[in-house]
This record gives sequence, C-alpha cells and structure tokens, in this order.
Amino acid sequence: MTLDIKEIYQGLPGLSKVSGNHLYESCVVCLSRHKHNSDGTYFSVYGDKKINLMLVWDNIFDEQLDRTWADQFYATEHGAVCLAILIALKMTNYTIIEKSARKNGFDYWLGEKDDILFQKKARLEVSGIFKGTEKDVNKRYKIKVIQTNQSDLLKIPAYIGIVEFSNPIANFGIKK
Amino acid sequence: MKVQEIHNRAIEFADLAFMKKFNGLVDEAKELFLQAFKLEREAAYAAKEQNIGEPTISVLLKSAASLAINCDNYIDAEKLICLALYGDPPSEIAEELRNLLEELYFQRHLQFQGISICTTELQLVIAGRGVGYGMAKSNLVFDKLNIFEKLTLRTAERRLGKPFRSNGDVAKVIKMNFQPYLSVPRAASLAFTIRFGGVSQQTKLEGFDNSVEVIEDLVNNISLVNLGEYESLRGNIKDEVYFRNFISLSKELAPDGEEINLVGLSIVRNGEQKDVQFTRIRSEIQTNIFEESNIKTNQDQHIELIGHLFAANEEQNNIRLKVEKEGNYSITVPDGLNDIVKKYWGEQVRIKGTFLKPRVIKLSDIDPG
Repeated sequence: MTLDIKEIYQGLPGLSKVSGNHLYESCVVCLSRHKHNSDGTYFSVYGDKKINLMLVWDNIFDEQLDRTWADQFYATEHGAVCLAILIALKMTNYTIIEKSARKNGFDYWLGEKDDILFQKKARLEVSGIFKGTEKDVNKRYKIKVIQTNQSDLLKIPAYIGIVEFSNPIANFGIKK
Repeated sequence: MKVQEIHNRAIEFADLAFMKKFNGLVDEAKELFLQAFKLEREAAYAAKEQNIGEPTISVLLKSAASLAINCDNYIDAEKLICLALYGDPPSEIAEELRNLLEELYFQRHLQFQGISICTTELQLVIAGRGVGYGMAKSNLVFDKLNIFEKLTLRTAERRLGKPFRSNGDVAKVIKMNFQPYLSVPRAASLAFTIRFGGVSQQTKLEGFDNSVEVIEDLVNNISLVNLGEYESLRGNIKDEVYFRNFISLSKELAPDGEEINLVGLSIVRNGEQKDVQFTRIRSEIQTNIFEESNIKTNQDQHIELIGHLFAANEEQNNIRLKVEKEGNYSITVPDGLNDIVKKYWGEQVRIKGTFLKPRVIKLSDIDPG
C-alpha cells in the first residue's frame, strides 16, 4: 500500500495546511538525510497490526531546507508526528485530528468528526528516533507506556507511535 | 461562537506563532501567542460555563496556560493551571498541569530576589524532584557544580588559544584566574552565585582579565545546545575536539528529566538580567552530530553495551569495560570525551560506540547504566 506523505497537508481533517506543511517538511528532511528514495521507500509498521507501506513524497530537500531544519532532534520529533498521524488515520477508525497547545508545540488527539472537543478522543503520543534499531524502537515504546501509565480510573485512551527513520519502521498500538 | 470554533481560531494563531518562533521571529511569535492565548482562554471559560465536562475543560485550560507562558504572561498562566487543577482533571492531565506549574515557578526562582551579581558572576539554579526548597540531594548538586567547573575551565583554555588538553592538570595560572568560587546556597529551588577567579574582585594578570567574556561565551553556548542549534555552536567553537567536549559536558549539565527538570543560568549584562533555562533533557542531546560518517557506517558496526568501567590507561586514552557473561571490552576514548569518562570511573555505565576491531570499540556516548 502506498502512503503519500503529502496527504498531511492536502486535506487532513482537523489539521491546517500551515501545520501540515511544517510536519511534512520535517519528515522529508529526516528521510532525505538518510538518502531514502522519494519515489518509494519501504516502511514497515508493526504493533497492534502489521502493515507494509511504500512511502512516497516530493523531493523538496535542498540546502535551504537542510539549514532550516538544523536541529535534528526537533526535526525527528516532528517527522515522527507526521508519519504517526498518517498511520493513525489509516489503521484506526478515527477520522480527525485535534490539537491542544503545550509549551513547545502541540498535543495531538484522534477523534470522530461530531464528537465534543477532546471527548471520546484518544491521545496520540509520538516519539521519533533518527537512527536506531528495532530494539531501540521497542524500548522507547515501553518507556512511553510506563510514562503514561496512571493508576487512576479516569484514563484517557492513548495510541503510541514510535517512528524510526534510518530503516523506516514504526511500532504503533493502543496503550493497554 | 461555539467553544469548538473559538478553540479552532486559537489553534490557527498558535500554529502561526510556533512557525514564527521556529523561524527566529520571536517578537512576531509573541504577538500571535498573545492572540492565541486570549482565544483559548475564552474557549476554556466558555467550556467551563457550559459545563461541557472533562477532559475538555482541563485540556483547554492547560492549552491556554501554555500559550500564556509563550507570551510571557506568567500570572495568567498560574491562574489557569490552578483553575484546571481545582476542577476534576483526569490524572494524566493533572500530572501535566503540575509539571507546567513547576516550570512556571522556576521562572520565579531565576529572579535574583534581592541578590545582586556583577559581570564576573553567574547564578546557577537547579530544580526538580531531587531538589526541595533550599535543600537538594548532595550528589546532584556536587555533580552539576563539578561539570560546571569543567565547562568553565575548558572555555577559558579555548578562549586563551590553548590546544585541547588531553591529559594533565589545568595550568596553575588559568586555574587561579578562572576557578569558580561558590556562594552559600539560596532557597530558590536551590541557587548559587558563582564568581570566577577569586574570593574577591581582585586584579587579574595581564591576558587573563577576560572572565566576563568567558562567562558570556559559556552561557551563550549552553543556550545554543538547549536550542539544538549545533551549527551556530560549531561556528563559535571551531576546534572539533573542544566542540565535542562542550557538547558532552553540556549533556552532563543538562537535566535528567527525573530528579532534575531544570537548570538555570543567569548573568547581568548592561544592567539587564539574561537567563538561560536549560530544559533540554540529557537524552535529547545529540552526541552523534560530530560523527557525520555515522550515517554511512554499517549498522553492524554500532554497538551499545552495559558494563562496569574498571581500568584506564590515560596516556592511550583507553578504558576497559567489564560486561556480565561477555567479558571485557577495550574502549578507545576520543579526545574531548575524557572529561566525561572520568566521572563514571568504577560505575555501571551504558556506552555507545563503533567497533574498531573485535572487542575494541570507539566510544561515542556514555550514560549511567
């Protein structure tokens, strides 16, 4: 199945074009720095379901984009959000994205179109690894599960997505 | 207007604000954050008034508080966080609200609160779970102070044009002129004034009178590490070994995100306070940026090991790591990383590196095991 990363700003419900383009650029930067092919790069998603995707994007990476996204950590986190949102909309029944502000960016929420703001919604918790192994991805996934594990009954459902860019893979699943 | 519509408008402004901030347009970003904050607060109050329920109310209040912080409106941010906590937020949101409040109070701790510091002095503040009001775990404090001293002396050596010192002691004359001296701690979470070069404002030897520039250089470069602006940092620290050393020492100074959340540095220049809030946690600081060839390196050559650091040959920049059930590895320490390795002597560590040959690894990163 092909996953066109451009979808992130070409009409994703709940995500503005400005915001989508920012996420798209960061994702392209991460993939391009690993010299992946914009005409088709295998992307294996595992976790709750296993699915093999073919990532495609426009080859917009140039010196200017490289300079703009000099902070690799920032680029990796945003690039991971980009792919995690696209995976979430492909692999879950949720149809829209909602955002709330946090100090250095946004929290992302998955939901249905007519639900009340942030209610019956699931949090999307994402982390990116620029260069790592499947073991690193799984380790980060476990850390995320522990970090967000609360004993309270008022739990908000959460999907966790850990994306790795050197040999693109993602561990994606609902926090149990 | 409906809550959803007001919130959507707030997020549109916030999107633009973060974009401006990303592009370094700080003043324009703050204007947009202010508009976003006002709208998000309106949405939160409307949600509360209409009793929409949780988590909507607390999420909107937290979102509005975050936007308020981004436009330096700390008083409103505090009120919104407290209002959210006073309601009945889900535990995850409550925890995030408390963390936000902690960050907000750290801003207050950075204020000098009656203390005046001169241009050869600096205020260092640490805060987090391991630091109470005026009390802190001793190892946390000594560790940060020790790393800070290393950063200072390395910065002084670099600015004096000395080649990187791979072994041996700091020259006496440098130590005499740049040795940090510590004030009594203040309760704020825990704050110190650090003076460079002496217990009093003594006359400096010729060529060693630039401690003001050393402090400024140090604080500016830590700020760049915090922002992840490694290219600008590379422009400031052209020597590759000093560059590597600065990043690795900064990583040790950085908060661990568990016991210490924030490290603050404040100086005074031209009568104005300049603060750097070092909030980037150590695991987010890249140590592989000085290994550009890494990307091309075969994945199999990379290794991560946990073991006991037990023997060192300083002349050969070489250490030994004992890994349970696997035996010993020889670890070559590149120039610049030796300051960090010493800290972990005799301890359990996690190392990252690349194989030079079987059982011989070139170190790229080291963390507590």
